[in-house]
Amino acid sequence: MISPSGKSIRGQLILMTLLLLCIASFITFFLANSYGQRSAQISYDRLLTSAAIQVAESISMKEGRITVDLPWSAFEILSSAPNDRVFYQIKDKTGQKITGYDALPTSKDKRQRANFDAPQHKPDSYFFDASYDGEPVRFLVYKKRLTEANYSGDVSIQIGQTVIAREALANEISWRGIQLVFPFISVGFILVMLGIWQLLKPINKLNRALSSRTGFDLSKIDLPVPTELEPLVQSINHFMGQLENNLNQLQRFTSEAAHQLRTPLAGLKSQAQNAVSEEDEDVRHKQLLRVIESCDMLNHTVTQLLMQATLSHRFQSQQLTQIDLVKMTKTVCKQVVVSALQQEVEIAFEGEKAFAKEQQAHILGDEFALEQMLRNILENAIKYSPAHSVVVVSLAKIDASSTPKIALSVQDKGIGIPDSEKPHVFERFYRSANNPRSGTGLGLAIAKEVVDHHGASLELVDNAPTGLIVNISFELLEP
Amino acid sequence: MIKFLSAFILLMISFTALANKQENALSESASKLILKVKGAADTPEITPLFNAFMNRFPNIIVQYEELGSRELYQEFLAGELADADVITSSAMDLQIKLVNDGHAQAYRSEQTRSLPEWANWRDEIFGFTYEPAVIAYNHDFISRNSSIIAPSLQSRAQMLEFIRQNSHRLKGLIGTFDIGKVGIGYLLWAHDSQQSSSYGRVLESFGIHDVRLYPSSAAMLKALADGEIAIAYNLLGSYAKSWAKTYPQIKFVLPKDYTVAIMRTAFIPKTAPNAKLAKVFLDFLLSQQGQQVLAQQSNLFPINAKVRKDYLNTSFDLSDTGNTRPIALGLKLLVLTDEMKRKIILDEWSQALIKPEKGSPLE
Repeated sequence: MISPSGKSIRGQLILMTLLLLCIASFITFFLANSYGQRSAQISYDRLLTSAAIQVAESISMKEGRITVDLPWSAFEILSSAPNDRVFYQIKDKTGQKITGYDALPTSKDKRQRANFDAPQHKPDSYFFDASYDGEPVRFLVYKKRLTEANYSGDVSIQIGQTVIAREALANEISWRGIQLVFPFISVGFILVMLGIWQLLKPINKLNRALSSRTGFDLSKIDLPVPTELEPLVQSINHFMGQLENNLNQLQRFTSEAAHQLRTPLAGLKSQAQNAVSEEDEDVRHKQLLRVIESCDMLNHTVTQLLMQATLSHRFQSQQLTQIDLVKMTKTVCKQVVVSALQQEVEIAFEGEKAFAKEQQAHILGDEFALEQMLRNILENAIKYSPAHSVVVVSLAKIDASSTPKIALSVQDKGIGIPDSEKPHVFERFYRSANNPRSGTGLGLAIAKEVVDHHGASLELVDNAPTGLIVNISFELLEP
Repeated sequence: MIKFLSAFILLMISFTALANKQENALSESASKLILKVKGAADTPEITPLFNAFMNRFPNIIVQYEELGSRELYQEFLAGELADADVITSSAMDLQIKLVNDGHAQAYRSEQTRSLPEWANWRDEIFGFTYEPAVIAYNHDFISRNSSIIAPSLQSRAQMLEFIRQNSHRLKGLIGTFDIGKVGIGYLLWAHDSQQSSSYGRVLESFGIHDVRLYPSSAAMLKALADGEIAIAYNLLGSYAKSWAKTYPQIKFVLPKDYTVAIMRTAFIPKTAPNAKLAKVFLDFLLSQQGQQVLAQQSNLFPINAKVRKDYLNTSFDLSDTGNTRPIALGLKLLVLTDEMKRKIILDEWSQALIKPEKGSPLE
């Protein structure tokens, strides 16, 4: 379960918990140890102190000499460390031994060891550790002040005891401490493990819920998850929603496209049948012309559908490149100007004023798609323009907003689109009920898709006195 | 254990055969091992134990040297006993001092572990006898003087009362150890001085009645048997018991207020040349067999409670009194080895007992 690369959340959590518990254990161990040492030190230092005090009590002057009537009780106290050896020495103020052992070690640095138990009001009494007779020994030097007629000064009592019992007590206390803490650490570990298992359960659940789904099930995930996982579930749900939406659109498009193809085909067939059975040569000629017209129409629809499929594919696969909008607009205008003239409509390009010949307006775009868009819009404008009218194509810079934009507008003098229909004209296969002209209903929809793909904005405005203005504004690239 | 020991000794034989060759003038066989014991016990008393040991381990020869307990201590400190493998003494205080000063080596075995806590200090020194201090008196002397009220000497207080009532008859007829010279005497007396409130009165009474001082239990018992003294105080029960067998006029009691028991102790010096042999000896000493030999042939009360009970039940029940307390081996005994403390105790003693002039009116 614990992956060495640390990719598993569970593994990382367990590793971190273990690390933490290890550190906690070490800290506990050291704390228990030092606590044990300290407690044992205090306890046995007290014993040494009370033994020294008892010895001090037994010091007196007799017949002009310092006499020490060594008390049994002092050694009884020290016997509470049953296996420790004791060394003692009592000296007068000149350092002359009164009684006891001959050469006991002295403290090199007279540092005031262990203030917490130094005999009170005896600033010159101190503990120190030294080695004597091959064993570590804890010594106490304790001063007693004698003020007698013929002696005035300190008597120094030095008592040392080996540290067997001290260390045994220290070890016992530390061991008890560790024993006390160890169950807590173990229980803590188990609880953390349970916690991790409990925490990771929703992730596993989510995983199972997703993997057990069929490919067609795009419904929302409805599982109770922790707050941290909610954004993930929301993203998944959002993504699923989009996917479902796209699928629905595709389905609708397919069925509409099928419908749009089937209807003209049926009409074509009946016209052709009529022509077959028609005996009047003139009528049959007219009927056949209509068949050809219908074929053109169908051809146009199929072309548009293919175009849309091509564009969809391009949008997914092609990167936007830098293109010159001025040049492109002029090219498209030139392409459509002939077919416009056949319908006795002129096309005027007004970009020259704003953009000198050498000046360019660069935008990020897909040239093929943009050409298609502009052609569709122009063809639409030409189709609805009355004879001898002019369709005006213009380019203008807009500096109003912080980012420089360029607006491409196409104005015609046709019948225009009523406001109520404006939102719908970009829908696929939308045909206005009072539109007498033939059309695929795809041209503007494609234009709109291209505009959306380029992040540009498109608006429809009424022209005066009649007609429509299509305004498309692109974000201009910095020169 | 015994298998191990015999195997061990076989090993020792081959191992030490070469080393002992030139040294062993005494023994014919070069394979004999020599264990040197230095002690304060009377040679005749302790010999049966060594004989039993040598019977048990025929390859070992024990060489025993008897010294006074204080002499033993001083010679040991002077380094003159460096060849000793085992040191035994009844002067518990001096033995403890030697152990405290790091002269003993530790030994742990089944036998040492079976000892009571107060008979083992640091696994370095072990008590092997248990001998109560008793009050003995000459029954003949007391019956001859019919005017003397039949004595009831069950406690120190009763003894003092008896002495007080028969004061004029008992002058010069009380004996005890010369504590300045006898280690056990010093030990017992110092212990009395710490333990009992009657100590002062005993000292005073002894001073008034010109107490006689003896250098050993045997000397004191002889004086008692001969009628030189009527009462002997702080005598070792083991000696009293064996003397009472031969001299029926000697009777003894365990004081009912409290009875002190001392131990003879043994330790293996760090310098012991033959420490392994010494350990074998210690185990034997503390074993059932060794303890029985002590009881039956040496008239010493063994430390092993069971052996002691079996042995004493027939004549003298130590456990019945219930007031017998051993002087435990431990740090407290160190006090008695302090030079100044010793001087204080001895000064007090001699000041009370040495009279300024004969026929003092004190009474």
